[in-house]
Amino acid sequence: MGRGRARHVLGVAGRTLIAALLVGTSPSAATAQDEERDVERLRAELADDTVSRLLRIIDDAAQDGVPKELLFRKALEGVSKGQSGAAIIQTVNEEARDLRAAIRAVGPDLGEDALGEAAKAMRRGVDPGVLRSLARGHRDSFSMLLRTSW
Amino acid sequence: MNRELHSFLDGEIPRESLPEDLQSEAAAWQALLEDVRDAGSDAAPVGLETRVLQSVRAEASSSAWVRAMRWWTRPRPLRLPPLAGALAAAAVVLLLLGRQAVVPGPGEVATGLSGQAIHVQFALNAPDASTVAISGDFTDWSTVGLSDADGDGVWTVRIPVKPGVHEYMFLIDGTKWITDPNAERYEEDGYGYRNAVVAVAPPTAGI
Repeated sequence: MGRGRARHVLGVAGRTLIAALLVGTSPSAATAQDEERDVERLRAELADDTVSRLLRIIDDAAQDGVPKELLFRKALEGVSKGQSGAAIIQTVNEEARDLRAAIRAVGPDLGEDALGEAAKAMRRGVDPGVLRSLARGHRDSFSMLLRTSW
Repeated sequence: MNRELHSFLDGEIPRESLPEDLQSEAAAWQALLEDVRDAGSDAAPVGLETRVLQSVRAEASSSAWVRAMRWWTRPRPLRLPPLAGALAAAAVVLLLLGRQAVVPGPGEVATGLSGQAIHVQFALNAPDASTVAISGDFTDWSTVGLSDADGDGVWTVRIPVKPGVHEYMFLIDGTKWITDPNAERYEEDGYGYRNAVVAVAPPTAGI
């Protein structure tokens, strides 16, 4: 192979590597990798049908704007604490229900932390209307307000 | 230049009419001009213009995909100072290492968190424990071991945690889940336990 040809091949390989790195390190790629890793952990610990039901619950909730990461985390918590598949399904289901209610109250755009805090506040009996007005009036400090108020 | 020599080079007078002392210089100029004349024609090779125009038209009418592929595969000289090359290579290596570190295995701490991660020290007084571990959302609920190097019964660990609100529990001797008695806040976990809650503030600018 001539020198010019070798340089050409190296140049193409270099540009392709840089493009692959940019794609592989993008936030969406990282999220997909995280999700894949979470599913692998669930499959390693739970029965196949339990994992299938969990994934269905998580995908359905995601359609309504619930961040998948929050539900995967709740499922992994159950696995870590040695809970049965049935208990994990029930808890993840309840978490999805509460997060949906939080989204209805404050909208889907406040971020994972704020949604999680809103769901916890509602579990403690905070009125959705109060959360809604707090989210409208104190968008940037919403999470901190909930954390310190209830 | 001598005026007579100039007239000779312009073809106005024959070389023989030049004085003796200018003859050799005139001969040298004449030879130089003949060499230039013999160097070749300035005319472009036959068909060159047509080929260039065809190539330009083909480039302009090719699809975006073909143009993109041509851009990716066309060799280009790259001029880079060795220092810049070394820094770029180091950045790529750090990027790759960072991505691997984001995936913690069981018993490992996620060390590839964003640059904002704060090292938080967790402690539990458990004098009768053989092992103590912590598990929380900041470890993706994997367990991370605490240590009691001086044997005083106080087990500690420092873990990088992203700013935000986080839940965690301690695990004693690999079997018994314990809520941190010193937490400022607690949350029911949905599995019959109470998680301790820790709020980690973002680092203050300038510190």
